[in-house]
Order: sequence, then C-alpha cells, then structure tokens
Amino acid sequence: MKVDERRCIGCRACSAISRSISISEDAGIRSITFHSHDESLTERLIEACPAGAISSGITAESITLTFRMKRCSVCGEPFATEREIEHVASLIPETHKNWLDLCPECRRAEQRRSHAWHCIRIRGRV
Amino acid sequence: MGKIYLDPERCIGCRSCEVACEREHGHPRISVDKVKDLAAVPVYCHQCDTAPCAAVCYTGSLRLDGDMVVFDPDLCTLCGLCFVACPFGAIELDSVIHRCDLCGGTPVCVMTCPTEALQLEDIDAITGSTRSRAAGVLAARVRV
Ligand code: SF4
Ligand code: SF4
Ligand code: SF4
Repeated sequence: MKVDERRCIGCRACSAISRSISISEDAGIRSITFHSHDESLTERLIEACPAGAISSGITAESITLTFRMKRCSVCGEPFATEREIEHVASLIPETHKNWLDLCPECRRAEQRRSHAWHCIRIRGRV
Repeated sequence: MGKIYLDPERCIGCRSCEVACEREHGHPRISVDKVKDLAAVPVYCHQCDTAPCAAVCYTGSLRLDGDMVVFDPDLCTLCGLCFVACPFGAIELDSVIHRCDLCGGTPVCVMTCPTEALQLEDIDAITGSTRSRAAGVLAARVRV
C-alpha cells in the first residue's frame, strides 16, 4: 500500500484494520506510522479510507505522518485533527458550523446551558 | 415512529434515563447533568432531519431512514467522522460507536422518566401541546 500525505486526514480508520499502522498522540500532535506491509490488506484499506489517501503500490520503508490537533475553543482539549475538521466541514451543508470549534463534551455543555436559560426565562414569566 | 423530545422544565435530574440506557446498551447514550443549581438537562441524539453524522458517513453505516438515522455496525470503519460532526456530542467512540437507536421504537429512557420530561412524539403533537400550554399560561395571567 501507499499513502498520499496530502490527502490523509489522520482519522485512524486504517489502523483499525492493519496492525502495521500505529497511532500516537502527544502535545496536540497525532502521529500515524505506516510500517511496511502485508499487501493482502491493501484492498480493504483502500475501501476503508474516507479520504482516498491509500492506493496500491509498495512502500519499502515506514513513513510517519503528523497532524496538528484542533483544540476545543472552550476547554482547550484536543479532540480531532485539524484536517478531520476541515473534511467534516466540507461535507455538512449548513452554513453555520460553529459547533465544530467545540469538543463533544463542551457541545453537550452548550446544549445544557441553552436549555437552562430557557427554563429560567419561563420561570421569570410565571 | 416519532422522535424523543425534552421538556427541560420537567427534568428533576434523577438520571433514571441514563441508568436505564446503560442497562439496555451497556454504555449510556444519554447524559444528564446540572447547570449550576438552575436546571438539570439530559443531552441525547435528536435524530436530525438533515443529520450531520449521516452526511459525513461515507460507508452508509449511518443513514437517514424515514425520520430516524439508522446505524449498521457491520459497515462502520471507526473513522470517527460522525463523532466530530454531531452538533450535540451525542456520539461516543471507543472500540465501537455508541449512538441512540431509539431502542427499536420503545426508548427505555422515555419509558423510565418519572416526570415525562422525555417523550416520544410526533413533532406536530409536541408543538401543539407547547402552544396550548403557553396559551394556558397567558389565559391564567389575563384572569387575574
Ligand atoms: S484511513 Fe485514510 S485518511 Fe484515515 S488515517 Fe488512514 S490513510 Fe489517513
Ligand atoms: S448522532 Fe448527532 S448528528 Fe446524528 S442524528 Fe443524532 S444528534 Fe443528529
Ligand atoms: S465511524 Fe463509522 S459510522 Fe461514523 S462516519 Fe465513520 S464509518 Fe460512518
């Protein structure tokens, strides 16, 4: 298999298929290492990759790609690679996608806050 | 089938829904928490009509089917794009995807909620009852 580093978004789907693909995450950087490979898995990897980054071909040496993580704009925790966010943003039709700046935990908190405000307004009225 | 709707004024923060969901699925897909001392609010999947999770899922594992989003674990590659896309943070990802399937039509969270804060309803029925309640409040105020 070969990986196209301009296309790979760092999602890790391939690593769930092949043990020769390993992941590490540290200090806001996700690294994916593609070790030399059992080629019998290539077809499955091509199919599984959401970004069309994998093709057939032989890579003799291992290659490591690094991705900057997106940090939540509220709590600062890294929750996805910046490339994953761009990829997702390009696929959702809505024009306002401001929730993509928040990690899932803070999105839940945001929901709670807006419902709580609703309750307070109602209580104020009666 | 309808969707799950929340009346946040009714939630007492007992977490019965969360516990029931965990009992049913092994991992809760609804989460309750308090906002200071003001209100308790469950957060869960809304089965969005134009669901971002289904829009980003390229395998057909998550897809719109009638008025819900169905999930087929056999097609899932664990890419995690749905987890990134959901506006409500309603998808969790570890070695599998955790996401609401409405328990096949009788959601245990709705069945368990003692205050009927969670209800499985048609959108028309929900907006109708909200409007008549608001009218009731207004009428009470006019009377005094
Ligand atoms: S599945 Fe494709 S996009 Fe995702 S990490 Fe692997 S090569 Fe990159
Ligand atoms: S998982 Fe999220 S995006 Fe998908 S239907 Fe549920 S609430 Fe909507
Ligand atoms: S993790 Fe699975 S369900 Fe989610 S977008 Fe990827 S393939 Fe679809």
